[in-house]
Amino acid sequence: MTRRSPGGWRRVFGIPLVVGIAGILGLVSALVFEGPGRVAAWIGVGLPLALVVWFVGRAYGGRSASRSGSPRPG
Amino acid sequence: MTAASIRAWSFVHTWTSLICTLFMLLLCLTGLPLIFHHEIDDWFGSMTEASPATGEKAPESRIIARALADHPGKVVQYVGWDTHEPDHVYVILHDSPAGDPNASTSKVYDVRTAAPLGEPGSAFMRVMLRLHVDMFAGLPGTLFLGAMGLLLVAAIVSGVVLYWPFTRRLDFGTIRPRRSRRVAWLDLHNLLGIVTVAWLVVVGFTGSINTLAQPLIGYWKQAELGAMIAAHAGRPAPARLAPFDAMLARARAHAPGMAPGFVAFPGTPFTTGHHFAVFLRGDTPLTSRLLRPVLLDGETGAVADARGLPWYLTALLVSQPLHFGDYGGLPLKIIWALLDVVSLVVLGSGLYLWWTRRARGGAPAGAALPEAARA
Repeated sequence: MTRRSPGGWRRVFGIPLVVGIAGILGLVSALVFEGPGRVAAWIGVGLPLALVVWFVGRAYGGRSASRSGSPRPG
Repeated sequence: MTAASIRAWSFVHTWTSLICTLFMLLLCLTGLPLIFHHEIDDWFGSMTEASPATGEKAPESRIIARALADHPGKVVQYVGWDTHEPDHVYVILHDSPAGDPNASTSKVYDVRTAAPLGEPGSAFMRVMLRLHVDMFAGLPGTLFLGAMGLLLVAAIVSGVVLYWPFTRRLDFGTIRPRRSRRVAWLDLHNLLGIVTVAWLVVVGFTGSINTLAQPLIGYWKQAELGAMIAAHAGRPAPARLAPFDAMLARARAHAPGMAPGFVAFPGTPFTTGHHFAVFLRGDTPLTSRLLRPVLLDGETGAVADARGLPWYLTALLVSQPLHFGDYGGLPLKIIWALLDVVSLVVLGSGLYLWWTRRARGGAPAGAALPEAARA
């Protein structure tokens, strides 16, 4: 059995949840509003790509690789 | 989460993914060019340029007469307009009104001069489309791919559940390139998978809905269209078709503020043996997807009936842009393509993770957990 630390799910699923909601809002916004809705879609739907570039770049990009390589204590 | 439940979810994730992976790879690879089918058709297609955008539009009847003259022995099934290509009129012809859709002839005509511009699309894109839609296996192939799409959704749900034990001791986005290659790929699989969940669920689910298009349209014909034509039951095929332009003008007048999307000729799958069906659409990104059918008498051109689409066809039509990604300009298409590539990496890394675990002696999934997650 594992013991959940308070707010643990938020640490694990917080960012994915925000990314998911931003994506859905983006998908719908371009469907409903033509001009600004499109820009919102580019941002919301494109957010996962930005995160992938950021974290993959950080891991393989050099000096911070070792720091991100250690699991969180506790 | 107990080790037993992790093993159970892992079993679900492994097998739902494995069963659909091969087909998902096919769908991602063929879907990639399909995102840009307008652009690719422009490069590789054989169409000539439309006339400069000046002058009056030719009456549709002239275009239809030209199409019939170009294709002796054939009949017109549909005439259509594409909001992305205002200079083009599409004419679909066949040997008979109810002929097999995959064997029809499509031609594009100039909206002003009525001159033929060539065939829409390119052979390459037609092959990609068939591979993507039914793998050249007709309706069973389409429905099979729809079932694979639902398996994908199950794989995503179980993947999200497993995301918890695999990452709960790690910072979000942790990738450990200094650990074994397998750990690095596991981290990458987790990150790429979890950030694309919403997009992939939407694209997978709307794709599955799209596979039901043919049965849904069949049901609509039986239920709704049946009710619309009950008053005209048993009418024979028109001996002489009503003048097209006057007929279309009546349909337009019946739905102010809307423009015709396509016209189905009497006897084709989208209407009755006796009626024209004009499908009109609105002018916003959303309403341009929602069609309003107006039935008109094939002989007199008088409006026979009109009603909104039922919810299931509305769902089908709204799900299409969400699957195609073609409603937010070129930037959205590029984002769609990049997310498609990310999905390919998720599929490939998942396959790799399964294979290496198997190669190491098929240890149960729980044993593959990072030690921190098994505490």
